[in-house]
Amino acid sequence: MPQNYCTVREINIKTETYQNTRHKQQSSFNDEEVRKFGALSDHWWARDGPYKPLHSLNRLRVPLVRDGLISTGATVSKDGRQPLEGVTILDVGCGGGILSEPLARLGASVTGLDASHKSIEAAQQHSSLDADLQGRLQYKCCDLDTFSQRLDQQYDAVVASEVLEHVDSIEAFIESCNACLKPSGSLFLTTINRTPLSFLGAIVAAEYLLRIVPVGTHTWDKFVPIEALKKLLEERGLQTRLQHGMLYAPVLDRWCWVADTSVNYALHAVNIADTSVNYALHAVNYAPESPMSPESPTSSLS
Amino acid sequence: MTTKVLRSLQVVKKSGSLQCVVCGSRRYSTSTNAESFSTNTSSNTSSTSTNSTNTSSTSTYSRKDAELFDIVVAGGGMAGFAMACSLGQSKVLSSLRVLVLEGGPHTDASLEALSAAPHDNRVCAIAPPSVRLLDKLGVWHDICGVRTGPVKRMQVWDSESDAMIAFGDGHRALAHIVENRVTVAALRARVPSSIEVRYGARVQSFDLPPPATDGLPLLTLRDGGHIRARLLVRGASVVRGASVVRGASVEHLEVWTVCRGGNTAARGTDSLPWWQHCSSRYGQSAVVATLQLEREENESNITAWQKFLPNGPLAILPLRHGLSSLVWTTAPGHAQALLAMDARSFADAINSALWSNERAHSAPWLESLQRRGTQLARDVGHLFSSATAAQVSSRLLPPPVVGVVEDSRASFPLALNHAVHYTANRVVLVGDAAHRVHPLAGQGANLGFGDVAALTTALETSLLLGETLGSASCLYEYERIRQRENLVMLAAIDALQKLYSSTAPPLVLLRALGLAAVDAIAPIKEKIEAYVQR
Repeated sequence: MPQNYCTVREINIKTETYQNTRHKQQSSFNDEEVRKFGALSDHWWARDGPYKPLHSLNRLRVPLVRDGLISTGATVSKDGRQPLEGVTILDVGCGGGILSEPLARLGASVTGLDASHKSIEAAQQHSSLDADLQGRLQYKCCDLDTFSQRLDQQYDAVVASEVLEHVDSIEAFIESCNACLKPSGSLFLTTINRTPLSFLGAIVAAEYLLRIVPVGTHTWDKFVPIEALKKLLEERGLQTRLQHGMLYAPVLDRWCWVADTSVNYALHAVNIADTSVNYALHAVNYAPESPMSPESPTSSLS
Repeated sequence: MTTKVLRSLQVVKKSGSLQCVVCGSRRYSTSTNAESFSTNTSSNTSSTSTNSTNTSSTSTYSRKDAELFDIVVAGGGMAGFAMACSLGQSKVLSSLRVLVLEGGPHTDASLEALSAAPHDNRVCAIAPPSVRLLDKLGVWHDICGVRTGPVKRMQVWDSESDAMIAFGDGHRALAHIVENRVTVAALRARVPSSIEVRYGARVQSFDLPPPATDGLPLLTLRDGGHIRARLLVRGASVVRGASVVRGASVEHLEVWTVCRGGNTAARGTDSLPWWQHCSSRYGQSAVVATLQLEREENESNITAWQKFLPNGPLAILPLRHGLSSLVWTTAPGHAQALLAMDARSFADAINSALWSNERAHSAPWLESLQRRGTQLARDVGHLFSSATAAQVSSRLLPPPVVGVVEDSRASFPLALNHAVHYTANRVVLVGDAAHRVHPLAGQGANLGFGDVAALTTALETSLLLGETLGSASCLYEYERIRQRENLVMLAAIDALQKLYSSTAPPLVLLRALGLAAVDAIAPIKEKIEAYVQR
């Protein structure tokens, strides 16, 4: 990979702070964060509970994964109802299984991973209610670093949705995800950007004013600037294919795609480390088309 | 009578007398032609159970002898069979197990036999969006192969004033008049073989799971069978669409209303009524018949005529050359008198209603105001007109009625009905089960087809999002989209009906000027036409 990206000095001062954290801790696992989510495990599947925005976020992230995998050719299923037949997915930080269950219903073989016992228990209990999920969905209570060291298989796709902003070391996390990924596999990330706007939106408005999420759910210092993340991915051989912003409307409880990635954003990267073709680092325009989904975002790489 | 009150209102009208049955218990008993409804959450069917509804609901909903289907369509009318065809055709939904329950008997009438039979007296005006849906289902071609009456021009006028409005240029079809039994037969023929249809299946009771629980609806049939469904789609029975013989009784109206007063303290949920209908009776009956018109040599029968009389609108809808369908909305007493007349007097009554210039109130000042207002509207219309715009409509007179087809006269009561919620836990209403409108705008069937298209799209999107079948968010999406459209149409039709049911001079003046304005100002008229054609 040509080394013609910015050096550390040229990176924005905000991201420098985040780059230095990797020297402090080598693990992506944070005990405190895990305990935070474990305490709310009874509420994962409550209709109007604290995780309501995550349920409505499925409207964006399920098509993101579904259409992303169809476009990269990971699935050749002609089945209208199960387009992800034959695909293996690892859902990192699956929590109560809010994203794992829909992906399993679409035909994929999903492994949900979470470090919190209570969350995994809640996820297993809920998935046992639906006979369609048997044999397609399994949960493991483990942290990602340990799991990636003891892999028995690699996955077509790794999904880490609303997880990155809770880990201590992004670099270790990405490395572990990459280890779980097959060559030409897809990595799907949704997280929050670190900008002044995201402080106002995701901390002040969401936690204190509108009470969309409990206070203390997020820490602004842990938010992930998108440019730094993309560079990190490039270093690991993961080429960003799609990035798009997401916006939440609290009263309507609806998410929609927006072009601006200042607050919430989604990212689809593909593992190209094994290929011998020399990819240029600047933008490749790529529009995932799926005749089935009107909700697919059109991509734009800035 | 339990502390948890379930109230259902059922209106059965038999030969002029009205009977209301209001039942306060959890499960109400079946009367002869009606269906009962219950929300029994325990296997003990005693109505004295006062336990909290937190007790396990699995015993009723997990009956081992119940057949399980993914989707059960209860009621096989136009909307029900259209739903079945739509499910069978969708790539995403065609792998589901679907059952259609139709209470009426299986008729062997093929489309060829129907095209040879005389015209039926129950017809619907199929608007272009519904034509597109039927075309997509592959049914429209079959229907055209039997017979349709294209409406290429429409004239609406008022008995109390000179105001009138005309739509259509005589070339493009604004709507098609199709007999209900032809539509249903064509839809039935296209239901794919993978979908099971049961005729003569009358539902004794529905056991629906309370909101936000995981149970499945359970249907108990009259013959004792039990059926569970992941999603229950409720349409209206085809029996209502059958032709009603002259002089016989009117249909019975089903108002599927449920109010649930739960044990709110224990469950912590609100006690909003589950299913309420907003309904009002118009105090009118509709008389239908098939009329023979004077055949004119050079003119084909492509015009729909509607005249607003003090008692209600009279509409003549074209079927084919020399034959039209009558829908006359009038007071129940007048309706009975019309049915009792002989054919000649009936034809004379229609002709005089259409051709007469009598007014309930006539005053010279009113008429001069109307004339001035109409002229003003025309002047304003000229501002918007261009060289290619249509001229101000000229008023034509409908062809005289020369006869009535034997045994085609019948009447039925009218009501406005709209369910406050179209969806509940795993249940969804489509078509006439969700809404009934006045026939003055000919939109009843079209709203039902719109429901079918929207529900199919909502289910497809939901399954492709990996949601369970019948998930609350999918059904809520359907309800949101359809209520937005249906409420607008219902409100407009109800407003028109109320506006034209009065003979008070101020209202007559208002509506005359309004009608003249809409007729003269081309952009408004085009907007209305575009809305109907969307």
